[in-house]
Amino acid sequence: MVPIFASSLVILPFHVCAAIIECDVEAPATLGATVTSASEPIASSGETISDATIFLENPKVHHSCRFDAARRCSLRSPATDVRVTGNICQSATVSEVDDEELLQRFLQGDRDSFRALVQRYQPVLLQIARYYVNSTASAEDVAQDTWIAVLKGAERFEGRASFKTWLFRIVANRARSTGTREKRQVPVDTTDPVAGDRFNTQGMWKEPPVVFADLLADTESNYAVAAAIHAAIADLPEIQRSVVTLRDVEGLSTSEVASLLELSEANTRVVLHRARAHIREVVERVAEGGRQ
Amino acid sequence: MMLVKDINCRHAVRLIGDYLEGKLSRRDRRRLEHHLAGCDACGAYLEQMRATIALAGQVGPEDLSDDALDALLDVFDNFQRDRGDPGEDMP
Ligand SMILES: [Zn+2]
Repeated sequence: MVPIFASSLVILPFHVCAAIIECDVEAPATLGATVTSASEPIASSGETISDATIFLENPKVHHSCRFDAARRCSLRSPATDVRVTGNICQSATVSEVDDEELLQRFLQGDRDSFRALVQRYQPVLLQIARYYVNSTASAEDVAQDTWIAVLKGAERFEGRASFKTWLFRIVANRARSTGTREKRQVPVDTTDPVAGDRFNTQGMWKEPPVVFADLLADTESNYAVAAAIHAAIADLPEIQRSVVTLRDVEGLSTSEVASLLELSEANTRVVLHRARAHIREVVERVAEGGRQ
Repeated sequence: MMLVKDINCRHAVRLIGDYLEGKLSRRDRRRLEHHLAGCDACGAYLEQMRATIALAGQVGPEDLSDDALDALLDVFDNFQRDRGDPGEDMP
């Protein structure tokens, strides 16, 4: 049987993807970020350009991106620390230096590369640490120790796992051995992922869910959605937040997540679905608000 | 062809969690796909879930406060300084 819904996933023009913006660009020299126009490089590192139409290459930008109602765009990729501000014509991406490259650079003493990794990963390190320890202050200590361990151990990093996996294991091990919190129990959860009142007595949808793709095509709803997702994740119970952050935001496999958080894979999936369903509900609210 | 027992939307929604992770039993997957083939509403829900996952994958890390960043850059600077110190051997 052909999975008929496979094609129904529309990749949303969520922030800015592979396109053109009018903006100012600043990139620190040390990172050698490339900013190119459609035809030729128009700004190399350290330069600031204004009011130019630029074409920034790389399909993988989704780091940090904000829009405001006036359709100003501020987009930042922590891995490169390229900043882009300006009016959006269409959209843009910023080239990204990968983690392993940044690691090599800071081993040579490049502070900006270290900074880029810290900006990229410190929030998730705190998240993982907080899962195991009982205060924000101890989580911060654990995260700081993790960076020290990275600095000391980076030369021995062999690339058998990705930098990210290596980093997350370090923080999880350290946080675990700090052990200021009892082992987390996955609450037995028998509630439906969707509120029961959405269904009639036959268990059929009263009102069918809206298709998100239609509602997210424009920039303003994207901004609202991004903000809503941030808030929705921040709102989740600790365990759900950890699972969904590692699985969906960081893109780890379920088994990696399970092992970092010392959960069974089955429990990880239960928690994951719960968290995703909550985020879905929040996005749906934004989507429906946008329709009124 | 085997007869597929019908499930309702509420049940379908429960199965979609493991379906998205590719972890449904063959039997449950068949029941779900059979339901999806005839139910646009659950198809829309599945699309919402997929879009949600894609969207979550696009949110960036939270912003780090300048203080937090500076503290970690100090760690880096200290490390560099110690490393540059010829009197000290790396373990
Ligand atoms: Zn249905």
